[in-house]
Amino acid sequence: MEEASLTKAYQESVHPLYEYVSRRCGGDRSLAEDVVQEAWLRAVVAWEKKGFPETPIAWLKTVAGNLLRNYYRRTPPISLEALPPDWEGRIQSGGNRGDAPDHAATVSWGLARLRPSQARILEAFHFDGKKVSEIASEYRLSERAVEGRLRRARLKLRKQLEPVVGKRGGLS
Amino acid sequence: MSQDHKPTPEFVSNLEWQIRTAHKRGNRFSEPTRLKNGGFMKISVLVLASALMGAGGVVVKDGVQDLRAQEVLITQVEGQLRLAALQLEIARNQLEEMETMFRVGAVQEQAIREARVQSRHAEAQYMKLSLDLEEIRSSGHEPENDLSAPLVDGRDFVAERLVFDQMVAAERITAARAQFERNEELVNVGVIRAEDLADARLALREAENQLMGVNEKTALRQRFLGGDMAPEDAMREYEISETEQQIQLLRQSMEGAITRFRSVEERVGLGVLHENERTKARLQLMQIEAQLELLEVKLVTLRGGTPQAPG
Repeated sequence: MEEASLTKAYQESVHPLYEYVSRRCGGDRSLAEDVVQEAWLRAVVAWEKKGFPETPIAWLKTVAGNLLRNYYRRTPPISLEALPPDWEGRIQSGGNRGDAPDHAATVSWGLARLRPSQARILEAFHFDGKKVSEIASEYRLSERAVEGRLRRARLKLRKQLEPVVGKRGGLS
Repeated sequence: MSQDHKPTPEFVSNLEWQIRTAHKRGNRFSEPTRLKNGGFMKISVLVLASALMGAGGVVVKDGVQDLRAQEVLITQVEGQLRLAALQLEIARNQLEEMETMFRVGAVQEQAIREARVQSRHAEAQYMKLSLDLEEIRSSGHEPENDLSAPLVDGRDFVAERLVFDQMVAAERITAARAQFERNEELVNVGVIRAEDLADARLALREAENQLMGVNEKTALRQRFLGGDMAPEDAMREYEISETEQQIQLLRQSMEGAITRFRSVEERVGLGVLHENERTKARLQLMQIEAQLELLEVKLVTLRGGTPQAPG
């Protein structure tokens, strides 16, 4: 693997990768930097052995996403009381794009416990700010199907969070 | 926390350096370091970087001639610099924490002074490594820190590094003097014993000696550069001065040890302390005496005389 190719791949991917990670951890810079570093250092080792991937950024995002999921599986969530009152609505509208690390940590903790397909669709809508139509196109589904999956994934997420962090009036 | 989801330019360039370095070293390390609890800390990458440098800080020996060797040297020092930056950050955070705890009465003022000394020390280490890097880039060689080292492109890196040593020594004196004065007050009101004051006095003398040593080195360096002194004489003079100071310090330390021994003997006689304490105090005295003898022999040798057999 040529150093020049590696450097080029790095320069092209570092910003989108960082943004991808940062959105999923609520802008927690320390965590985002660590995850991006870890993902890239693993890439250097893996690509040396197996060669350059076809789409380096996709490879890096996959690794970074797994790292974050593993991290959040171990991180205790904050209480629902600490979330803003309209947190669920903001998730629905795609407005809660990592407003704060704590909130993102709670949501990410819950996401880490969902099936990967459910977590990915929520992340695409919630963290990446994609529209239903964009997700439908990407997943080759109808928009109605995407909306259904989003609704079921949100319910599942809520069920994951409530037993651990407690219910709040109005959310039951 | 930043909400713009953009990396800082510093982070981008630092990570690029780490990736290029890791690539150059090949796959020496299979997995980046990760903490057992699954958490991630910047230190994991810095530990990897330091491992790339060699855990013991492998230094290329004298005679680095070609550009590749210079590049290796620069890479090593850059790695050490990044670690030093982290250590500096830790020391500064520690100082801030001590200041906060002092304000709420959780710690005494001495804790802040000690944290300040550590912070100053970390700053000095960082600045000295920065100077090392500049020297390597200018000279193409490993940095030289002997009193007889030549100037590099007209620049005196030895003297510049000594300035930071002076800074640390001055901070240490400030802390030691404050502690000594505090202990004096406590002795006057009977809270602590006189021999406890001796420890604080010794710490102050050590700090003062350290500064004197740095000042001596600076003066000798100037004499050497001024042509007043041959290279081998500069180092010898410094060693003589350093040995004399160590002897003086040990003699003061011995006074304290004798006082302590007498006090312990008295209390053993009264049945207040166990016999073991007297043995320990005597052992301490003997150790200081042995160190003093060795240094006195060394001093005679440095001055060109013939050392007498001890005893």
